[in-house]
Amino acid sequence: MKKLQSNQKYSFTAPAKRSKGRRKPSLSKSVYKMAATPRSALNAKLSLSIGLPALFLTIVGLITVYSASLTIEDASLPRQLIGVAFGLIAAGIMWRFDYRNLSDMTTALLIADLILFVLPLIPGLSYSAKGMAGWISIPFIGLRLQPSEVMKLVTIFYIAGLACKYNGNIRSLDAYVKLCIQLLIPVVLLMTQDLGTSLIVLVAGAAIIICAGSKKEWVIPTLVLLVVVVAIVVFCSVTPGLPHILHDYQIKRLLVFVDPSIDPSGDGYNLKQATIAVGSGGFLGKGLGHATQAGQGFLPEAHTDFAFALFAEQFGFLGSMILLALYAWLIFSTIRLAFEIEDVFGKLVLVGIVGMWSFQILENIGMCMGIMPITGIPLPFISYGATSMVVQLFSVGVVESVYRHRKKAA
Amino acid sequence: MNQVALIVLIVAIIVVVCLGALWIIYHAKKGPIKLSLGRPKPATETKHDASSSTVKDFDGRLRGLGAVSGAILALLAGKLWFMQLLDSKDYESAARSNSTRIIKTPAPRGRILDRNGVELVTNRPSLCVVATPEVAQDQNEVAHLALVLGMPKEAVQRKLSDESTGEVGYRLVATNVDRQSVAYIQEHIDLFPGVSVQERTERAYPYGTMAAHVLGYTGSITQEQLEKNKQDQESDTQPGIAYQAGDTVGQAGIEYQYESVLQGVPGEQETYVDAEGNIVGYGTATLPTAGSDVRLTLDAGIQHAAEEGLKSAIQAGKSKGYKATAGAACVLSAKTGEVLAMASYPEFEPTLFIGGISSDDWTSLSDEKSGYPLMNRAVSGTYVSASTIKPLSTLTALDNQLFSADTTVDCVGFWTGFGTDYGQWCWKHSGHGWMNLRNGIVNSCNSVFYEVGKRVWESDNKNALQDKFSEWGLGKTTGIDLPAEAEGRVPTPEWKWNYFNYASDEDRAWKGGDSTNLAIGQGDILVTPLQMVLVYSGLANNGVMYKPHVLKSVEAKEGGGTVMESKVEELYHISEDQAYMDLVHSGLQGVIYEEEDALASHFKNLPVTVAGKTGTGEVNGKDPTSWFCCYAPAEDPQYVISVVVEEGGYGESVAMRGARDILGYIYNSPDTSNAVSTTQIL
Repeated sequence: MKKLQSNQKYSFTAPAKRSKGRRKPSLSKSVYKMAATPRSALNAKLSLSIGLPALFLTIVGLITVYSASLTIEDASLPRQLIGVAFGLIAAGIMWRFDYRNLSDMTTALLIADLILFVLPLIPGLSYSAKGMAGWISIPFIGLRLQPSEVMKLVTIFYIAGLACKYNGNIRSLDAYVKLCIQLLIPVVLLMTQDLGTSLIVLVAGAAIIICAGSKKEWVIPTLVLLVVVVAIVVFCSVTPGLPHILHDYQIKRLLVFVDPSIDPSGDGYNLKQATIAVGSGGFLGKGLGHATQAGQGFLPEAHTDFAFALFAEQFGFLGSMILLALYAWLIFSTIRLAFEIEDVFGKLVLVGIVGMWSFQILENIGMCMGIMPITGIPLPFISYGATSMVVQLFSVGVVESVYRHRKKAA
Repeated sequence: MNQVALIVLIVAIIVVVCLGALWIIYHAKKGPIKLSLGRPKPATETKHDASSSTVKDFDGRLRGLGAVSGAILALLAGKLWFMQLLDSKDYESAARSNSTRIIKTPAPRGRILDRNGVELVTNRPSLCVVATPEVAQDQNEVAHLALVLGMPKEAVQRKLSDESTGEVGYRLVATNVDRQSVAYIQEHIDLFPGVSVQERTERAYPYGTMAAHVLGYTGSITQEQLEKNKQDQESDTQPGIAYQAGDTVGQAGIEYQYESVLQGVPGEQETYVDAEGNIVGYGTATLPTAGSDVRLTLDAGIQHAAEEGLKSAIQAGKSKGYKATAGAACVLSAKTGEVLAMASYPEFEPTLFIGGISSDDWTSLSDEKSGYPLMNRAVSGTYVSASTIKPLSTLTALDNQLFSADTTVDCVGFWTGFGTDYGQWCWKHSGHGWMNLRNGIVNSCNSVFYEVGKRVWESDNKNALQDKFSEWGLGKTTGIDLPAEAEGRVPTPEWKWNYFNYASDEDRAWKGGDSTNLAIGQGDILVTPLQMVLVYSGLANNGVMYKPHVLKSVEAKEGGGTVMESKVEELYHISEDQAYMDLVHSGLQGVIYEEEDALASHFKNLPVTVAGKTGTGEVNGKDPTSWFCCYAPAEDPQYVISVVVEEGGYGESVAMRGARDILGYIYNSPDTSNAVSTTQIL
């Protein structure tokens, strides 16, 4: 029996009793079972309509990173393969793990968020890559990580865990405001390090809160308030004398978005080169390894921020359509799974993940075509970066875990 | 066809993707497809746990989420459609222009030859040091380079930042670098990143300053020329050569006039570059094609004689105490209009312009004190014609029946045709006595021509003099194939009224005195040496003037022969009564041999008869302009000469020297007379 009281104060202790019984089967046994018996819709533990697009996207990503590694020193295919390996392990573990255990661990998740936020600020751990804060480098091993990438998922669980308590119907404004404020904590923290990632968290969290049953009468004024706040922040940042909340480069990116000719040597140049890369791909593309824009250095950050431009230049309209189709397959399969399951927490986690993917795709691909402002948001499964790869594959593991545990708790 | 198949394929893909998406979203539901966003539909089925009404709420919200995600993907696909299918050509060319650079190899310009094939302007190989613009950032390298080249550091810096030699590619640092410096740079090339040595060709002038004004010089194309070239390219009617910043083009004289012929086609090497401009590969290449050689009508020997003659005339003027600052001489072939020689003084060194003239040199060449040596005074200099105009005044008087061949005027030294108050002096204050027109020319008697002016003024056609002068080509350009030709001026009542618009009506009005002044070539009339040599060729040919030209032919690039030759063209054909022309011919011969012994003594040893006229133009506040125009042989004129010396003094003693020296070269009989004219004929 689920908790139905919407106003019930959620517990700070996290008892995970429900799923005890479900963790019995061993890994080897289930794999054996999968291989030995034909997949039946009711008993399948692995959803191919989630796993296959993710697998294909990962392969496309590896091909793209390989093509980048031909000319870009920073891009290393082995590094990315390590990321994929770790990501698959993480996804596998997550798949086996009953995600529902997380629904009551909101306090732990918040603490995890705070730890991830503090990590890059610790001297000795912090590592600044290309002037961007928010990286850590583990001493002696030299492994570089981006905790903010992990924060995205932790926050999705955190907000979904908070919102699912209302069982899909937030009746009081009090509760709604509380949820919003709880979302704002990680968003504002992240904003100090990485505006792009904080936007992803904001969008994913907002998707969860809206889908968790917020009333339209509350959501719309919130969005209006958000627009007003953003306008004030931008106004402050461009007006001398007032506190500059946004960095100068962020303001410049906004200006470049409006008029790409403003900064012809910096972001305006990047934007122009990215659009040239995408457009010059044509229908069939220039072929693997024949990207002149990225290959000859005209397009900077071709393997990370502008990964889509690199992809589209080589594989053209046809390749881009296939890429978008793979994303559509993954996203709609996830949404379909959200329809099918009854667990509210599971639904909300899936909503958050769909929100995250959709926004990252929109922002990264849109930025390469000049319809979104430039930010450093990676393209899921494609952009170079082990942390991003691990987190994206882990997200797939989460979705698969939801699928595996789709039946009602015993 | 291909296009249609492509679009059908894409539409099919999109339809399949959309149907797939819809199927995935609604697959779980058995009910009809409904695109309701937000609120759930009424509960008609209870597939889910009936106890939880929230599940139905979720369906609507999830459908909304699916719609938003689908809209995002559709938006991206739509934008991709535009970028990768509709506009991809533009982006492709942008990508290509990013990654390819055309490196041009300058083509040698065509040579400029005289009529006998003597090289007046040619090319010689020159070792040039070029460098990429980035070198300017490295002060150590700049200093090192300056030391090796023996140039000031600032000069190297300036050359490196000189964008006129092309925005991309190499900047020209030094031309004509000696072998030792080149060897040092090539041996220590690792010390000079971005620097390289190229072998180019540059202009060479075997005869130094000779004919420099006609030949002109070359220089980097100017911004205005580039813009005009761009317009021509777009206008489509005159495409011609497409220039780029940094191209060397003719900037004066023949180099300018026949730029399109002399300019070669530069070689092009397509290179592939990366974002830093490093060359990563090579594409197609074409070799440069040299420009065509041009053969001029000039005769190097006569040209040299004309320049030396002009200098000796100037020297003569100076020795007589006149300023004699500048001058010009022009020799025309009477029967063809070919310019055999064209000299202008002061001269300039065309070598100064090789590889770009320094700003110091340019300043000194354009300075007033230097006497504007770049100006070709033979076509651009305008002077008071003085008595050299008198043959045309004579023809005016005869043609209008104002005078007959026998009409005489009594010259008493002071002409009072308009009353004593308006009297005008003849140059010979003691008077010439009774003079007819022929003797008026011989003695340059002003009184006769004052009378001509007065009779014109009093006749029906008050502008008869101006009409005659214009008919003979004064006051308008001859159309010679040289740039910057001046029109000169034939003053008319209308002109005077407009020109002196600040003066009172009384002073602006044309008066009889203006006509008498015009008849003797003084006052406001202005002519160029080229116009006068053309007038005298007309006198020599009984009214036929051939269009003066400097180009004889354009040589074929291979196998000898010519691709284009200048035609002999009549410019003016004036019908004059032969009796009148004979009177003028006789008068002009009389000038040389009858007027005074001193002048005649200079011409007596020539194997041919000469006909000519002196002139001394009065200029307010300056020494008089010295003129001499002549043609020879008088019986069958071949050569026509005009010489002018600014502030040179009297025509018969100064400008005459130049003309006599030219004739001396042509007929191989130098001037042996030292006789100096004592008269001061105007």
